[in-house]
Amino acid sequence: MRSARDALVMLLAGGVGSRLNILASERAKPAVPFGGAFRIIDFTLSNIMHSGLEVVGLLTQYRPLSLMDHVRNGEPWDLMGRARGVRILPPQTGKEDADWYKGTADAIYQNLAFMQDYEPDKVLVLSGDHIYRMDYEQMIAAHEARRADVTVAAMPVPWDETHRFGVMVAEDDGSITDFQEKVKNAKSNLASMGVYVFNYTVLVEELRAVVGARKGYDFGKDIIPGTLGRRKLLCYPFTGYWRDVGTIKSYHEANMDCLNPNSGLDLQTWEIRTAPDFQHPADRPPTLLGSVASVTSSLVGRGCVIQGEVAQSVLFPGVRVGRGALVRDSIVMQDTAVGDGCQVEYSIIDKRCELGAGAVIGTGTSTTKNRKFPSHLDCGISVVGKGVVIPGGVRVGKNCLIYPGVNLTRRRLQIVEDGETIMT
Amino acid sequence: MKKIISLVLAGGRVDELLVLTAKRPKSALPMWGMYRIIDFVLSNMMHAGIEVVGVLSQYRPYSLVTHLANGEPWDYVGRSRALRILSPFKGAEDSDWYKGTADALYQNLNFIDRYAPEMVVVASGDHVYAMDYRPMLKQHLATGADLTIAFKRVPREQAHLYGTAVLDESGRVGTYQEKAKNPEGDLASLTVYVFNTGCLMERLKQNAREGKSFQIYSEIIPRMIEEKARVFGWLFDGYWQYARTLDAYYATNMDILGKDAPDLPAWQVRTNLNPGTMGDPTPALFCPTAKASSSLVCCDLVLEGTVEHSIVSPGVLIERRAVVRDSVIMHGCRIEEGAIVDRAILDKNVRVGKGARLGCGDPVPNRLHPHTLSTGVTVVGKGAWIPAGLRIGRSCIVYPDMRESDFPQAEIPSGAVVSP
Repeated sequence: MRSARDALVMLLAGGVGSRLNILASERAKPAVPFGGAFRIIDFTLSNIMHSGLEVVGLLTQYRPLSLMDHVRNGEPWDLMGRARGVRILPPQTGKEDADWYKGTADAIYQNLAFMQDYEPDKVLVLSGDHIYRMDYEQMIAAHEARRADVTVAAMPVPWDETHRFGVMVAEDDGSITDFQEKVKNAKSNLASMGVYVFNYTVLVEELRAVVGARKGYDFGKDIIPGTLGRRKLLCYPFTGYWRDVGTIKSYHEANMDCLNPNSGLDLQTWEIRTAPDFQHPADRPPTLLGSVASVTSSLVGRGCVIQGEVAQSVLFPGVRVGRGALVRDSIVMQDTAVGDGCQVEYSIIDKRCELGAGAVIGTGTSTTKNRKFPSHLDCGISVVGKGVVIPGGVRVGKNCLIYPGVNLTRRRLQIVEDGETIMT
Repeated sequence: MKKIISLVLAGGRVDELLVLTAKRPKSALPMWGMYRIIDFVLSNMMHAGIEVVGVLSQYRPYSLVTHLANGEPWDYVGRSRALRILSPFKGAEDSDWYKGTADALYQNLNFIDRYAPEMVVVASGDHVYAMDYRPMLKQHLATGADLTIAFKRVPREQAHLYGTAVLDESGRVGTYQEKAKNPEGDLASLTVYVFNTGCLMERLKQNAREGKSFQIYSEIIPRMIEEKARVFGWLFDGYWQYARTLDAYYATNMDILGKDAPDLPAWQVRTNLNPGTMGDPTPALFCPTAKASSSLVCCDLVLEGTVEHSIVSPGVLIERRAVVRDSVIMHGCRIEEGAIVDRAILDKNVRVGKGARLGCGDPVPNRLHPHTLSTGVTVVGKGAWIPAGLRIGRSCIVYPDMRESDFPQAEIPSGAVVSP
């Protein structure tokens, strides 16, 4: 165990997640549901718990309601007690430099007073956006053993994706000699995971010098590159499963990875904790499988009622799948009803949607990109927002986007063409 | 609303349940995958808005106490709400093990006193039902009763199993017979009583002085009727099960998969979902080879094999080519490759070795316990390991924690009991 005095955690959870489009339009990216029972931030919070860290400052900004409801007092992750806790740190007014958080480093800078309360020896800066299992204790121990000023966790990524990450060049002993933030033609494929250990005094000095002087607001862009050559920067290599689920495609893929423990994402052994969903007057009952149900290669949450066929899919609690319906290669969130004879393929259906009997979503072979958001929806996945009603018999094509709350009954549409977006 | 508290009788073992209640009271026995039987009565209390519940525990209460925790799962945390476990205690002179239901209440008169309620609901924690107590409380007030008892009409041929009553036109109990051979009435008592507090206190004190069996049903109620106290009946016609034998416990479990299954979501049952007690939130993983139908499954299942018409609690692993059919599988069981479990109850953490077979041959009554086990269900106690390849017949009983060397032969015939 490490007390807050030893290592304090600052968890950045304000992310906008714009490339997740409507999945993150009404909730912060860390609060996006994942893996049939969890939210993305559960992975980081569980890592914190398993690493024996005791106090977390949770930096929120973008639509924090779902997130705060979820994290509550930190009890689900054992972060509650005399010496343990989660403190929500929202943007605040009333101080000279106070403002909306302009970047990751700015968020920490604006909460120097919170850190000061603990006078920690080290600060672990984390992001609540990633799916991974990591023992931070080992990283902190490495940081101490090498007497580093700053340690950055890194893992190799495919060369064609390096432009999405901050990458670093490290020597054999781990010393970082160069750092590039999201550039074309990167010098290395060793990507920063957004996991940093700072000596507290170094962190405070750097934040004051950079953010305080309004020269920059971001760890990856400003703070880390600015310390090159001046501070002792250590690269901590990580080789396990780690995904930034920032796009619809990567979000879908990582969910599908849960279905196959060989992917490296093994929910059965990762011991991820989450906060139970207390919005109902009762606890959700066990899942009921009907007499002709078929469920293969899938994750199924509590309280589902399955009468049809489910394959290669992730079903969150309370999903109903009617007789003769087929759900394949899809993610279906809480309390969505898939009517009799429906066909749902390669889609993400958010919470509390109603798909009438015989509705068909995401079938076909079209490769038409979404016309409105071609960079968000180009791999065939269709996304249906929270609370959407799709009446019986309607066909929704591929790469389609239906905004939260849309009721297609009123639209009298029979077909939503491939690549269409329905906003109202 | 008048001030009401409730006392839940949850301390009994129920000997007929044999290995299933070897280490827990009946109220803590799992039901329908993720619940324990006491969840039903506690959820009923919660939904009726009764704010104080005392749970009387006595027999091996560890799992019950852990499960109840601080009452939070049923919302019994707050300034005016409380769930208290009332265990036997030592006092200056008047305390002892609970000798019966009436004695258990008598020893906790100070608990009732502390809250000074107008009415006390006394209910068993051993029964499976969803009941709204509010209409019953309303009737109790409207009739000016001293005691109101909930009844349900049962088939004549089963009436001898229960306390039965005959009501007059006004709903007042005329006669009451406890497990009579040929009872006059077919209204069975559901062990749900509403007492006026004054009446209850007085009757408990009287029973403490003069009682023999110290039971509410066999002494207090008959005496009240004899003395023409105002005892009324309230009729309930929903699902209610008592599950007092192994066969009945199995049948009650299977009811949830039947044609007239209770509407579980409508029951709004709550349970303690904390990891380590009754649930873990990791969703069930169905592998590519999984086959599952007509079953109730819970979280933290890993299914590689086949499940048909069964109830599977959280944390179960069913390996490749293993088949679970018509069975009740409790928490943490592991059914290894190619094993077959047919019509069995496996208590928690049972391991069935590779290729073992449970439920072979013809259903004969259990040789030692035919009164509780005669329908062919094989029951395996908590933590037992069934050796690979072993064949076990029907209506067998395997004691908890058995290991390979405890099984004398390569085949256990139907009706046998395997004990240390």
